[in-house]
Amino acid sequence: MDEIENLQRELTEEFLEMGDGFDQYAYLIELAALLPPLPPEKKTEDRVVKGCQSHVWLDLRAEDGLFRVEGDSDTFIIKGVLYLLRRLFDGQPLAAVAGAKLTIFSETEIMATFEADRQKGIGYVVKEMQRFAAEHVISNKE
Amino acid sequence: MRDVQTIREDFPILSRRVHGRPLIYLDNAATTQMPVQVLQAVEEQYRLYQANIHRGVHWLSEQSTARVEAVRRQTAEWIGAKESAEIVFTSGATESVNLVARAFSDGVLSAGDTVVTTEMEHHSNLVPWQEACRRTGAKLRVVPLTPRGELDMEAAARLLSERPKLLAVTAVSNVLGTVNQVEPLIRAAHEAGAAVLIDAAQLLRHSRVDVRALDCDFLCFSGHKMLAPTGVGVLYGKREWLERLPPVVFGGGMVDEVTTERASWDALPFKFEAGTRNIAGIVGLGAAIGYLNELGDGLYAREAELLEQTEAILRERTRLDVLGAPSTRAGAVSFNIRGLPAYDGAKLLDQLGVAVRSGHHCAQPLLRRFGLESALRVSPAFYNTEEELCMLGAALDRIAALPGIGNG
Repeated sequence: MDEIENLQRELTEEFLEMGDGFDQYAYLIELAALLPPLPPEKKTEDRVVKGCQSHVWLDLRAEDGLFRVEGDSDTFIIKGVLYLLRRLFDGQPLAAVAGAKLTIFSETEIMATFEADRQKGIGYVVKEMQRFAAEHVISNKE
Repeated sequence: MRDVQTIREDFPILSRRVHGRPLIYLDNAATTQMPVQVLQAVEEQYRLYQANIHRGVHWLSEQSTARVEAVRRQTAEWIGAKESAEIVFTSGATESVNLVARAFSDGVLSAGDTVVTTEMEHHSNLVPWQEACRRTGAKLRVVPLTPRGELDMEAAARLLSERPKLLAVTAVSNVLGTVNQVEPLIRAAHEAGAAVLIDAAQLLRHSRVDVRALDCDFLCFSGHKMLAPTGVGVLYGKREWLERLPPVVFGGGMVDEVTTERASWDALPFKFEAGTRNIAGIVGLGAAIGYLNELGDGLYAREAELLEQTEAILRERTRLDVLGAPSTRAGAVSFNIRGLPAYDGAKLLDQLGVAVRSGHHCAQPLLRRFGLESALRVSPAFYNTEEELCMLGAALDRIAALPGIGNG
């Protein structure tokens, strides 16, 4: 099992131990406090993830074949989601990020309690990360 | 008024459970629930009387027409209008304001004229006037708010002295719950030669309305904020204004004679009712008015008590910042939890079964006046209970105690 899958299993179990939807949300808010804030100078238009109802900024980098991500949002629950994604993907090989199958949201029912627009927004965030990783796997090979 | 537990039996949705917990529905400023009497009236219309109105001569059509026109008369009586021809059925307050704004653009406003509205308005009573002014070259003037969240009446007087063509003002703020003293504004506007449109969308569960006593020129409201279905609303207009204004939507149902070159308009109110109305919605509106009438004036005291209790619950919690402190509030009160974005607060409350609204509430200028982009809003209705409000308080305490929430 690769590292992303291991981490995902660990995080999923942590969430499932939290209890009901309120406790899972409360845990996301706690995790939000652990997400390093994005410096104001990085909250630029080109880092905004389009399609999100909240403001979400992503700073994505490829460094020595590894995926690096910083992110921020103006809502704590989405910051918590960003924290989870960062835990899963930051410092991982680009190819692993590009090919990762995310199950944490469906297995913990976190996604089900978000309204449709928000689900779409989180989907955009994940897609953007994986698209970036895939593009940079290719350019590394070139 | 009947006791609240008996009333709640008329609202089956209130017994629902959400996320495994009893639903505590406190988003009534957005939309109210419908009692079974309204649901049955709507269902019966579709089941037994479905037919288009005003055109057919068969029995079903005549029955449907009679039912709609009965609601028109009932609505006129309910708000104190002189005649039912002054009641135009629309899809809601938004369409009503847009109708007047568009008609003013086409028939009244010229470059250099002035329209006055306020910083307190819902976007539906602000943006149509911005557009009307943009189209005609008229100027939009905006009455500012005081720090307490009331209209600055001195500023209003100054703006009215510019002799605007119209004043558009809300009776009750959908965010702050501020009840505006519209009577002196209407008098001052008329003295300045201005017509007055009152947005009564948030008013009608909280106070009797008498449009002739108010002497407003237009008044609008939405059915779904007073127990009726969505997609139906009312524009009241004084006959002389409705006769003067041009129609803004054209087609079947609003014409008299039509050639390939031109058309003439039908009499009031049909001139403003192109196409087929929301017939079942109108029937539901009538049932809702009947239900509110049956509750009696005790309804207004009940709504006021619940809001007072809500505000007290919010104010006694030091982590909460309540927006505004108007001398009279009705229907809604907004606040923030220090250190927690409003969206997160609403999601957490939702997980505890509590339905409130978060965001800018279609009143971005008002929120920004308080230095905010979003807020939480609680809006109880007569079918809520004191116990539910206590549970709101307990839910807020649980949220405020969560680790991970800063001090703002």
